[in-house]
Amino acid sequence: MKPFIQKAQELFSLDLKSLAMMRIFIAILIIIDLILRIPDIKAFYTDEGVLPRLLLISQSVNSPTISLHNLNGSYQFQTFLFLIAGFFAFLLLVGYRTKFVTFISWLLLCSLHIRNELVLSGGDTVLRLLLFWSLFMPLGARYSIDSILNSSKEKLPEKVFSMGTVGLFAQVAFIYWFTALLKLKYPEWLDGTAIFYSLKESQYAKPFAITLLNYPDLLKILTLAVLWFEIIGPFFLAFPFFTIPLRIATSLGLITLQMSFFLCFEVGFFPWSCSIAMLSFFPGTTWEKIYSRLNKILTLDSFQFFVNVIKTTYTKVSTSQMFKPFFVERTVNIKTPLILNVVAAFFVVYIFFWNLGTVYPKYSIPNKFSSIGYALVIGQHWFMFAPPVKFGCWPTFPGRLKDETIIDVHNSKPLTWERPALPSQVYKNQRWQTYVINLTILPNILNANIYHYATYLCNNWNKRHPEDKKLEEIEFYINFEHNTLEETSEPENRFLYKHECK
Amino acid sequence: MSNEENKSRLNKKLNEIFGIDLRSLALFRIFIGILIIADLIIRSADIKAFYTDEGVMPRGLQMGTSVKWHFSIHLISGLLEVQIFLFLIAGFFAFLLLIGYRTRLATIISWALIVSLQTRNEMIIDGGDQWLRLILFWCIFLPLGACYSVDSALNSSSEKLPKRILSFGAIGLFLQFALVYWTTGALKWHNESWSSGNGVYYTLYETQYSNETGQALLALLPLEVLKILTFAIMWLWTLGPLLLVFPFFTYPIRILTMTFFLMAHLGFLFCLDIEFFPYVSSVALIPFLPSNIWDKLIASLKTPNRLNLKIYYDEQYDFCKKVILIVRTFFLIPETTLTPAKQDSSINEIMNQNKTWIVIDYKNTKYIKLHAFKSLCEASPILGFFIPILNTQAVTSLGENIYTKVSKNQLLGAKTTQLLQYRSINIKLSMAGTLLAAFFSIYILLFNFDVFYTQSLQKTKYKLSEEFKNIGHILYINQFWHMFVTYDKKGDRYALWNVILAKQKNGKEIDLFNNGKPVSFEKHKNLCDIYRNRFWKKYLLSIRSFHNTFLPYFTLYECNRWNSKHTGANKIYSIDFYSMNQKILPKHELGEIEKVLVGKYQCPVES
Repeated sequence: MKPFIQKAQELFSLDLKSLAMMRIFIAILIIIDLILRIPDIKAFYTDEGVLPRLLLISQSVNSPTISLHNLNGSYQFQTFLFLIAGFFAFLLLVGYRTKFVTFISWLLLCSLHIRNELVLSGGDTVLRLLLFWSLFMPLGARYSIDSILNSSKEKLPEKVFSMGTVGLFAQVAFIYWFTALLKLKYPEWLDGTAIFYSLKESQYAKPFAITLLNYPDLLKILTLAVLWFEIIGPFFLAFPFFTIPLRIATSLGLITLQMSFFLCFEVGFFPWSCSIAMLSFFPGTTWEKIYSRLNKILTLDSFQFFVNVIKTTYTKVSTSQMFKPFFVERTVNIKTPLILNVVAAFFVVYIFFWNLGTVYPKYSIPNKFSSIGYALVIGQHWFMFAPPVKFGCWPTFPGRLKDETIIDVHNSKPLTWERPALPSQVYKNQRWQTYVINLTILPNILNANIYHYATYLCNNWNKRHPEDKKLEEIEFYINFEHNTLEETSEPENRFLYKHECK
Repeated sequence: MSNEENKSRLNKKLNEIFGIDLRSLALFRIFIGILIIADLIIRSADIKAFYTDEGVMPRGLQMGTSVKWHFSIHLISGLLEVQIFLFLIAGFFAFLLLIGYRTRLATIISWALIVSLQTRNEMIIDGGDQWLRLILFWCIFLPLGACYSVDSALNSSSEKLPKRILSFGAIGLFLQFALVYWTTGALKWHNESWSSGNGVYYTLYETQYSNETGQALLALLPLEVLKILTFAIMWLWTLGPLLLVFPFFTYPIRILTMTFFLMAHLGFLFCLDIEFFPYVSSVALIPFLPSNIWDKLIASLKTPNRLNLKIYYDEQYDFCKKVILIVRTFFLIPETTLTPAKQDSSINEIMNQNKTWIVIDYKNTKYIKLHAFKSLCEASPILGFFIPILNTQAVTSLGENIYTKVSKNQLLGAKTTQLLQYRSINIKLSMAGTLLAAFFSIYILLFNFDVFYTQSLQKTKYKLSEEFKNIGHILYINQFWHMFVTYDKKGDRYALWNVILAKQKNGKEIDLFNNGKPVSFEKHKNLCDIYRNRFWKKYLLSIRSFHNTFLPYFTLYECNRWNSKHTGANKIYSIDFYSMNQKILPKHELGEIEKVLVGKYQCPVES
C-alpha cells in the first residue's frame, strides 16, 4: 500500500519553479485582462451602463454570490477597484506575501466576474479556477520576493504534493474529458464534420479558419484527432511509466491544440489561460534551460541590462527608508495545512460531480449543495464547440436620427445590410462580441437586458452628437446564415426589438 | 516675558482646554465598544427585515434610493447568512476596540462597518446612530489605545507618554460635540414653537416621542415650568459647549456643565421614547473628564497591597510575560513588579516543581496557579466581585483545568504570541492626519452651517456646492441635528402615526402592528407603544414622505411575515395603509384627527 501512495504522490506533485512560472503568467494575464477592460468600465460596470446594479440584483435574487463591485455604482469607484485589482495582481506577479495576495486577487476577480457575467467567456472561467486552485498550492516558493525574504535556512524541496496539485491535475483533465464526453453525444463529432461546422461559425471565425475550410479531408482527420486527444491526453499528464516525457509531450500537445484555437477563433483568452495552466506541468529544469538559452541568444547587453534594472530596483526599494518595513523576513512554508487539504479534496470531488451533471443531468449536484459552487464561482460547463452550431450571425442595429438619417448604431456607420467580410470582426472588442452575441441569440437574455442596452446606446450616442444628429429610435436585427456541408444560405435577418430614445 | 515663554504658556492653556486626557480616551473607547456591541445585538433581532433582500429594503431599493456617493459593504449580498456574518465581524472588531488591540486599525474597521451598516438602510438611522458614527470617525484621529489597552500593555517604547493629547483630532471631536448642540440650538431659536417657549410642551404632549413618564410629567407640571425647561434646554445647547472649554476655572465649570448635560439626557431617557440617543450623548461627554479627577482616583488606588505586588514568570515562554503584562494593565495594578523566575533560585525551584507563575503579595505570601490569579483579583480595584465566583467549586476546577491545559500545551502559547506582538505606541498625529482632521473640522462646521442656512433660513446665496457635499457623502460625515424641531419657522407640530389594516380571508380586518387585534382608528394612549421597536418606529416615520417608493416592499414583507405564520382563512390578502396625524395646539388642546388612505396593496397570490 505504502509504495502505491508514494507513487501516487510522486505522480501528482508539481515542481515549485513551474508553479511559480504559472503564477507569473496568471498575474500577467490578470493585468492584461484588466487593461483591456478599462475602456468599457462605464458600459459594463456602472449604473449608467448596460447592466445597472438594480437590474443585476433583480436577476440574481437569492443568489449566494458576493461582489465587491456592488458596493457602489459610480465610474470612479469601479475604476478604483480596477486599480486595487491591478495592484494585487502586480504583487502576485512578484510573489509578495503570495498566499494572502492570491486570495485577494481571487476575491477581486470573482467580484469582477459576478458584476457582469454577460461579458464572460470560457477563458475567464479557466483563469478564475486557476486562481481558486492556487489557494491550495505554494505558488510563491520560487521566483518571488517571498523566497528572497525567506528566513528559514532549510532547503526547499524541488516538488510539492498537496490536494491543491491534485485539484489542478483534475481541473485540467476535467476541461478536456467533459467536453469530449459532451462531444460524443453529437454525430457530427463522430462522422468528422464537427470542425467544419465550427469553422463556419462566422461570428467567431478568423481568416485562418476560412483558409482551413479549403481542406475538408484534413478537417475530418482533425475532428477525430481532437476528440481522441481530449479523451486520452489527460491520462498522460500523470502516467505511471515514462511519466516526465509523456507529461511534457502531452502538455506541449495541449498547448498546440489551444494555440490552434487561438489561430482559428475569436474566443477571448481561453487558449491563453488553458496554456498557462499547462506551464505548471513542466519540470523545473525547463525554465533554467530557457533562461540560459535566452542568455546565449541575447548575448546582447540588453538582456543583462534588463535583469540588472530589476535587481537594482529591488535593492533600492527594499532598502529605502519608506518601504523597509514592508520587507520583513518570513518563513516560506510550502506545506498546505491539513484543513486546506481537506477542503481541496472536497472540491476535487465536488467539481467532478458538477462536471458530470453538465453532461448527464441526472447525476448533477442537488440544488441544496449547488449553492456552494455558485457562491465560490467554481461552476463550470465545458461545451467548447461540442454542440455543433450550424449558423453564422452578425448584428445590424438601424438607428433613425433626428434629421431622418439612418445609421447602423452598432458600428456607427451608414446602414448596410450586406454581409461583412468577417462577421467576427464587427465588434468593438471581444467583451462586446460576447455581450452582443449572448444578447442577440439567447431570447431570455435579450428580454432581460435589451431595454438597458438600448438606453445605453441612446445615451452614449446622444452625448456625443449635436442636436440634429440625436438618435431617436433604434431597431435591433440579427442576421443569420445557415450552414450545411454543401453551402451557406443567403443571410436572413430577424427583428428583435425596437426602442425609442428619450 | 519672552516670546518663547508666551508660546509655551499658550500651549499649556490650550492643552488644558482642548486637550483630552489619555485615560478619558481609554474610558471613551471602552464605552464606544460596548455601545457598538449592544447596538449590534439589539439590531440583530431585525436583520432579516432591514438588511436582506427579503426585507423591507431589498438591495435594489437601496440602490435606487440612496445617494450616489454612499458606500455599503453590506450590499455585497442580500442573503441573511452573509448579513449575519457581517454583524459578527463588526462585533469582533468592536470587541478588539473595547480591549484596545491594534486600536487604530480596529477603530478604522469599526467605523467603516458602521458606515456600511447605516448606509445599507438609511430609513432606520436616528440621531443616536448618526452621532455614534461620527464619534467613531473622529476617533480615527485620536490615540484611543494609549491607556488601559492591550496595545499599552505591550508597548515596546520606553518613552513615558504624556497625560494629555492636543491635536486637531481632539479639536475635531470637540467641534463635533459642539455642532450637535449648536445646530439643533440654532434651529430651535429659529422655530416659533421653541422660541415661544413651548418646545418641551409640543414634544411631550401626546406625540410619538413621549412615553408614559413623559405624559405624566406633562400633566403634572404647569405650562410656566415647561417654558422654563424649554429655555433652559435652548441655553444649555447654545452655551453648554462653550462652557466646557471655558478658559478660566476650566475644570470646575466643566464638571458643572457636564452634570447639566447628563441631567438633560437622563431626562430624555426617562421622558422620551428615543432609546439610543441619550446613551450616545452621555458617552460623548467622557472625553471631557478632566485630568485632576483621574489623578485623584489613581492616587487613591495606590494602597500598599497594590504597590508591593510581585509576579514571577517563566521567561522561557514569551507568551507568559505578555499575558502577565496584559493582566497587570486590565486589573489596574500597574505598579506590580514583574521578574523572571530565574533571578531568584528559591522561586525558580517552586516554578519548576509546579509549572506555574508565582505571585507574592505585600505580606510576602506566595501564591501559585489559580490562587495566584485569585490574589491578583483581590488586589485589583475592579475585580473584587470576581472572587466569590472563583471560590465556587465549579469555577475552581474549571479554572485549574484550563490552567493545566494551557501550561502543558505550549503550542497555544506560540500561536498566540504571534498575534500578541510588542509595538510602540505613538500618540502623535501624523502630518497627514493633522491636515485631514483640520480639513474635516472646517468641513463639518460648513456643513452644519449650510443645513441651517439653506433649510432653516431658506437662503441660497452661499450654499455649498454639490461636489463639496459629496466628500461628506463618501465618508458619511454629513449630519442633520433636527431634534424635535422642524426646519420651517412656523412649523406646526403634529402627532403622527400609521394604521396598517390587513384584510383576512375570513373577512376580518386586523391591525398588523398590534398583533392582529381588531383595527381601531382611535389615537393610542401612548403613540410610542404601537411599534415593534425603535427601528420600526423610525422606519415608518421616515418613509412618510416617500410612501409610494417604500410601501410596496413594506407591505410585501408584512404579507409574507403574517402568512408564513398563519394558515387557511386567517391568512391576509390585502393591506391598507393609513397615515394619521393630529395637530397639537397650545394649552393642552388637540386638533381633529386626520386620516389619509395612502395606498391599498394586494398580497402576492400563493401558489
